[in-house]
Amino acid sequence: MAEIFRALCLWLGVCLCAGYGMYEDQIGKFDWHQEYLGKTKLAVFERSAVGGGRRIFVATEKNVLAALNPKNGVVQWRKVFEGNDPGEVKFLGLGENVITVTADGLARGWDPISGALHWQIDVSVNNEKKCDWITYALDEVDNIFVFCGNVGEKSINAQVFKSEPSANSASIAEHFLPCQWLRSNTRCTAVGHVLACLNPEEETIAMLDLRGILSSNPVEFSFHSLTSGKLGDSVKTILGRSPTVSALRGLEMQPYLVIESNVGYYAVLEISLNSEPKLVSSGTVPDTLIAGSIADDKPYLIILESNMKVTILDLLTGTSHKELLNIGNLKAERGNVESMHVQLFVKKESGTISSRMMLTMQDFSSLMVQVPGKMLWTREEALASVVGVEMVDLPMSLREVSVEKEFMISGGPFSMFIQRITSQFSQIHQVGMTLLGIMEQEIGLRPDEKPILERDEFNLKKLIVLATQPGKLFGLESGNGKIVWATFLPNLAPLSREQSSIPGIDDLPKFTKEKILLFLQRTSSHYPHLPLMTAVGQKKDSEGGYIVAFNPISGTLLESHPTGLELDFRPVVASVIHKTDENSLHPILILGDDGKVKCFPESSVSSVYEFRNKIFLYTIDQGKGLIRGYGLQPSSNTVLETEQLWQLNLPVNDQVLTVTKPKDIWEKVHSPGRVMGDRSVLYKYINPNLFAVVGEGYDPNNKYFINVYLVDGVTGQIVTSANHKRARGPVYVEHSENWLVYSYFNEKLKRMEVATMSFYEGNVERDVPEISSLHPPANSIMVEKQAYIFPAGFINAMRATVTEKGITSRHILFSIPSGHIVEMPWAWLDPMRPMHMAQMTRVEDLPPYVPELALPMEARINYNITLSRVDDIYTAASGLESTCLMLAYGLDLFSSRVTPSKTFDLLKDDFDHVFIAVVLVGLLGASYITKYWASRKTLAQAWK
Amino acid sequence: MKVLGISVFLFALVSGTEANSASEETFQIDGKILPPSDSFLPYDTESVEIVVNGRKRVSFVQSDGTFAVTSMPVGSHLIEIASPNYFFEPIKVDISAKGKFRARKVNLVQPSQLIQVPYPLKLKPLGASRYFQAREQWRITDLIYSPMIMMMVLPLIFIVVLPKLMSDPDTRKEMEQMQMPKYEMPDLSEMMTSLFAGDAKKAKQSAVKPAPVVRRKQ
Repeated sequence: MAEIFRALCLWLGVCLCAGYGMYEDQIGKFDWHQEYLGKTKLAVFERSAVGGGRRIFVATEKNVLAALNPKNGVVQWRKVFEGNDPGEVKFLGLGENVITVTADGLARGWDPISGALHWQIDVSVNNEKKCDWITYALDEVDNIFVFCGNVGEKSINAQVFKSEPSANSASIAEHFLPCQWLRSNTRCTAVGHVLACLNPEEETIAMLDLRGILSSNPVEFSFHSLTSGKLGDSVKTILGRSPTVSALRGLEMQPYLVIESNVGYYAVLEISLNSEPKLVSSGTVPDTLIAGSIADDKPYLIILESNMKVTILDLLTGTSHKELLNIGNLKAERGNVESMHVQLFVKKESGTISSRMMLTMQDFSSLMVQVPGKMLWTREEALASVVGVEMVDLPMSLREVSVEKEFMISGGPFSMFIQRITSQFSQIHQVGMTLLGIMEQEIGLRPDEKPILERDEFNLKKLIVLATQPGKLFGLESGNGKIVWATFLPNLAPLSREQSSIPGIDDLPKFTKEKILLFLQRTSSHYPHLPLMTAVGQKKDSEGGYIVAFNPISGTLLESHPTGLELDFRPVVASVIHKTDENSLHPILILGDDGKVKCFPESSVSSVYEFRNKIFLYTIDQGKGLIRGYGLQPSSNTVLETEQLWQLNLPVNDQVLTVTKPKDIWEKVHSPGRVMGDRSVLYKYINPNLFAVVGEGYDPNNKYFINVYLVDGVTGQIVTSANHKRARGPVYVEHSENWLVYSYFNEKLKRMEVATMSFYEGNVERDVPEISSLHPPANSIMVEKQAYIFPAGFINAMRATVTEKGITSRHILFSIPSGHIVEMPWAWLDPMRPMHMAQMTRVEDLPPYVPELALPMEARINYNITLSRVDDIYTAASGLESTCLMLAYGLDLFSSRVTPSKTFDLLKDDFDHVFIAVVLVGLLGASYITKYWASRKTLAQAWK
Repeated sequence: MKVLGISVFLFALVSGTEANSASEETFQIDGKILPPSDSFLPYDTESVEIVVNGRKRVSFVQSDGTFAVTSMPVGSHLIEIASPNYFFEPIKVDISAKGKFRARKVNLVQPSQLIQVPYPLKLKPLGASRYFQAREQWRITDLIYSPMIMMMVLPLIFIVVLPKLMSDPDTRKEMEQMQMPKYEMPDLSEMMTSLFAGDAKKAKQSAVKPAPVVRRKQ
């Protein structure tokens, strides 16, 4: 019986979820996907026999390995390791395979062409915790050398692993080398066939033959002094400035050792086991980058100074060749060059050497540059670390602007009349032009033009403004994901969060994500005012806040603050005010630690002052569990000041308040109540001042727990709370209308669960239509709670859809670890899902309760485009009530449209216009013919 | 059943305590992805990822389908297989403190229920992922059975076929015989006039007077 009931429920569910699913021919119609890698950390050029590379292999700070096409920068394949520590790529080498070693001690060999995994061996050192440093090396036959240095025991442990598909994890050779000379600042690196260790204190270099390790004979270090007269003073200056030692990048197999100081001084030494090191090149100009490359079987050293001077030095002959790199205003657009990888070519005709450089910039971007000044491609890798998103309506078209202009003319009726006529004429003209324009486009007369930033009829195209971790702001067109503008602000950094770790919750601080807050202060529909958006972050390397105001459509910074505005306190909370000032601008209030408040722009202080009775702010102390509410009562007309109104203490054991989720202040709720089975109306409790706070902790009995509080931001009252024992985060919260959804991991039963709450006032409509926290409903608030089992191993992000008027039913988007984004109707999560089928009091159209939710394949909106490491999902309403725009960001960007109630306000995209036109014309024709026949018949009858 | 329940509880206990002991042994979970049997589609193992415990660990599949998840602590681990084109059943692998492995099916509703699967894992896709709805296709039967068409066709039959039947003299005779009984329907205009013009009898009479029926000679 229960089986039948369950099947019935599932079937009902299937009927309900008929709202989603796309058609196969819609692939790529509304969605786009961009793959990113992160800031390049390691890179290797693949060399072909003819010179020039076929692929570039990069490992990034986001723990990603990828193969790039050197001609256009397109990703050929990509492997995403764990996002946390074990996935960190420690070593990248190229032999027969691409070889990576990650921090978890796994060496993997990848096929250079397809990216298939050929072999995987465990190269972790047995007592890894005792290693102060680990150095990896590779020889010509792809043996992997692992050196583990232990300063306390004064020893180096050397192991060699054979990289073969069928290899077991045992090492083929192991040596334990006692090294009395080892110091805490000793650093080693493998250079060619030599392990070279730099001892800055003793100013010596210790060398070990790698080939010796493979044999069973005992091996010993040989020592060379770095202070001999031949090397000169330059090496000495570097040794005094906390030097690092490395192989010459690009020439790892050649005997060139690089010693670099912390400020960018460098010395390149040619080393060999039996003779003294020889200085090849050195520089004491700060911020100089060096790299090596081979051309025509000869090694070259390439030096890039910060003034973009490039020197190519032949390491065998010592001849050098200088050039100036001239690729525009690189410094202003992308900041400093942080690392460089070079590939040299010998031109067949002239025999001269030309070079291609892959530069990693301060804004995380990768550039491929042909010296002297040709930009081959750029990759905006900052988009792999998005920390703030907002979607902005595009400005109105010229035609609509001309209509707007009409109302701004002040003058006599005659001029108004003239204006009317001219604007109407221009409208007709515009219509004609668009018709012609469409025709032109169809013929193909206007290929590849710059995208026209104009609002479309249904406002489906918007501009996505993205704030990224290095402080670069981007404007992307939502229709196709093309970058419209980019502005690099080196001083802008994400807001730092207090990270108070709790014993037992090791991975907790990682989930408190960094953020740059974006506020749309003025939309683009306030002609002639330009739209204005403001980013609130922190000044890089300081505690103070940093505000940047810009035009979100063009990306230009506001003229009054061309370099941004610095704050003398750390912003804790920032919120935008509902009311506008005289320039139709929504002011932003930024609250600091001790109740300091700042209004942006400062000119709108007076308008904020006007509404001071209606503005309430709150701050949250995550570690102490303190929430403080502030009002603006003591302000004057020119200076804003705050007073503390209430304080809420939530210090349960060792909990940390991890998530705060206020409601979206622009949210629209269509219906204030819902109809029950007995025709009565249950009124929703829709208080916009509510916010949800989640406390996560670890109690003395070694049990994780989660507390969820719903707090009124005006009065500081806890409306409701929930406690989950043996549950742990990360908790994702979505709070909208009169409901709250949150997800957590059930430790006891080892499964993900999604819990929901909804709030109702009761069956009586409130007397005062205005919703106010100060006038709570007479009866206590009804809270419905329910929890569901979520059938995926994890939830990476959760977001509810929004639509223009809030009429369309809501879906919740979940990002699951398989890389999919699943949409789930709110009705499935509704806490009022009845336990029994035939209950009169149940809400209409709700399926009966089933503990397990279903994630059907049709509900996966990104079909077979799997997304890696989704950080969050952003949703925005379009001009069509049925359609919600979504953007998932993380390592990838994916944007699509979601239609929770199907496109009820749009014709189906397979609607046959030709057919309907033919039928109409046919019917019209038929009616005329039959009319003719009918008249003939009556005439004939009349004659009878 | 009870015994199984207890064993699961033990496993849960073990997994609960593993977080605290700082240094413990780690194990390797081995498995193999089998190709889908029903088709000979090119099976790209490059796109398949082994996702352990919600992406805390990720492993990749070698060309022959084998995979290994290394440095796994004692406890219960959820193995999910992320593939863009096929879907797999998730599997739980329990590692006991002694280093014994046990693989079982995931039952979220009743975690105590134990259905063991062989270890090392042999995973076969349950099928190809179908992300798309099928477009409605135009079929002639749809047209015929659609109610609108029915509504149009039936009156057409009445209009076209019935008069043909009437022209046949036999049926006509038949029809005349089975004529419907005539009901005297009151004339609406008559009723109205009788209602409003009660005393104007003359007018009524003139109205009532039968008008001569003009019949055209045939």
